[in-house]
Amino acid sequence: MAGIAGRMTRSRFVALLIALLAAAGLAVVAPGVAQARDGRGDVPRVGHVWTIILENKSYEATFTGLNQNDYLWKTLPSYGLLLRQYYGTGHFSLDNYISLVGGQSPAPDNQNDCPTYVDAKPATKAADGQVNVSSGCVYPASVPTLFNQLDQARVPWKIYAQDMGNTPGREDPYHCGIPGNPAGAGVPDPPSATAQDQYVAKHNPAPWFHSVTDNPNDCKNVVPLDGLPAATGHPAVNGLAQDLASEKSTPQFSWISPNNCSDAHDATCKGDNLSGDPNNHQGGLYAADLFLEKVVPQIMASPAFQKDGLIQVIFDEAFPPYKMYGNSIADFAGNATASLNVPTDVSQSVVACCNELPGPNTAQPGFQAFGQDTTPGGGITGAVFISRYITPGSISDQPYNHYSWLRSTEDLFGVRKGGSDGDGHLGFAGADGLRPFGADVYNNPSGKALPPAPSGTVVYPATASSDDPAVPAVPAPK
Amino acid sequence: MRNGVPALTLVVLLGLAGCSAGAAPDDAASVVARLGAVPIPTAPAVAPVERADAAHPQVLAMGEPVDATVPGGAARVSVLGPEITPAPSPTGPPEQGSAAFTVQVAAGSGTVAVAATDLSGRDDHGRALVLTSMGPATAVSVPGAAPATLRVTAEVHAGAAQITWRHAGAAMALWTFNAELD
Repeated sequence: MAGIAGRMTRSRFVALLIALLAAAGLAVVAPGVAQARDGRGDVPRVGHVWTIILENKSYEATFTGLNQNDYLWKTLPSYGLLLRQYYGTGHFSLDNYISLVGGQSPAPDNQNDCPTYVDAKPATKAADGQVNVSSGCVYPASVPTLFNQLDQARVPWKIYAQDMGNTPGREDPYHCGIPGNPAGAGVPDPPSATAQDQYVAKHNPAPWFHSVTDNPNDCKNVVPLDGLPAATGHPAVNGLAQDLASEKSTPQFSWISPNNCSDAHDATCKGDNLSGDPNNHQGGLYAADLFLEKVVPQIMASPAFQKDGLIQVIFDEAFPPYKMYGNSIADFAGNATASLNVPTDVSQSVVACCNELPGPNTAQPGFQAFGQDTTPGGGITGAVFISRYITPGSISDQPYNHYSWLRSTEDLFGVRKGGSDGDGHLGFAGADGLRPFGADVYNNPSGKALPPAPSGTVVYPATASSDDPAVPAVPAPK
Repeated sequence: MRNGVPALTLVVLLGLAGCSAGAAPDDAASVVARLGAVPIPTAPAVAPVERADAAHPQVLAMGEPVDATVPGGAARVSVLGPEITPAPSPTGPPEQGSAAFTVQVAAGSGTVAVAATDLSGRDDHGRALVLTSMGPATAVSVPGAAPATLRVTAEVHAGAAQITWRHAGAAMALWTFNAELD
């Protein structure tokens, strides 16, 4: 080696050094290698993401023992990270889904869950990648989503919607799950859950963007959770379980919308709640636990997850919007029911996160806050993430919201161009200073698998059990 | 010296490059072999049932059973629901509706009765839920018989609320729920 160096000029030697360093670097950033970074903060090479979205629960309802949804409250955080300040961006459901995948702020009809499935108007461009929408809910083809970005980045993706297509003719499982044609007068009162089909379009992000629904190839990626058998003119469609069988068949990004029972929305389910008891229709977090107990281990046993996967369990909004930290400054007085327009308990309020702006279409996202205090936003829901790049039993108190989620997902999959900031971030995901998930989330960068933390070390419950000591011993932070 | 230090550096770098390029297959099996398998959280086959008595009342999710010990007996008690019929609303999702709850009582020992008057409710605005029985006003259960049921209704508003069961005036269990009206 000394001879080789001795025969080289200094400049050639330096060039060789740089080449070797680059080669070493390339080897290190190969997908799946834990120490790798993508240059946008402390983000390991997570290669597969599953986002499971649940419905309408405040942080307190879900993660403090107020409900005995043990699997989500106790078990999953002991295997991953509890984000104690994850926020929704509005009320009711639909505006949150639109913020998540499009970076669009709430508009009058989508924060009213779209009583009519109809095209948005006037749908003209506004600042910050926003769109002016005074009525309607379905965004024009000129408004891109995360799914379009993933198409451009050649990242395979799928939306799995539980029950979609169960009742023929109700929603179109071969056309992104749309409940009808949004042109003209649109579709009044899109169907709500039934005993046979608990799919609701407002909990599926695809039907609300022509940039997705107008593309048949994209709609092939929007499938029922359990797939579909072959039908006239349509081949069989794989569901989640089949896609998880191998890494090759697993999309890199999977969005999972449980039905209106399994997502904790309905207090009493219209149909099956996965309990195995046909007479048991209990909903809420009880039903969400049943769903998660089935699906999370299913995903975690897959090759793709074990290689480089990340599971995210998030909620769309906090309902009712209990506060966890801070407080708002005013009581809302615009409810249609006059009895709600009274000063409320200061322990219940909506607090916004992350400098959330209202956007061009509403004075205050989350304004219909059930008679609660009304600073902008959707309230604190909390979230749980599980990955080999995350330390079991860890906590982040860094505030994030749905726009942070979008920005993080764009970064994770290498979207670098376009968006409202020219850097790949759509709408308000490109807001100055918005923080994506960082080292507080990906806090086990080596990727070395770690055992679960003892259950109950993550949070001390808000309610006591008979086994608790009189003075609770709170474990020191890790 | 001028040639010796870079040469040593080169040896190290070549070694690093060689190791990295040759030792990091990225298929799932290789990653698991190198970094370990991520443990999978399996749920218990049978969910545990909480126990309650007058000294240790329980907070439960709606639908969860509780094994309650009362003077003279013990029973598994659960409250199911609410089954909500939203009130018509011309301006978007309704803000209130009629809710039905079902109380199930299965005595394991003694005779255990739960009356509508043993139940009370309150929502997150502090409003009382006015509970009215549908059919028999008391469910009486004895061991070995089918569970006794009691149906009650109340007007509820969108939001969170709770149903509390008291026995002889002492709180035994409190079931929380969200009233979803959209």
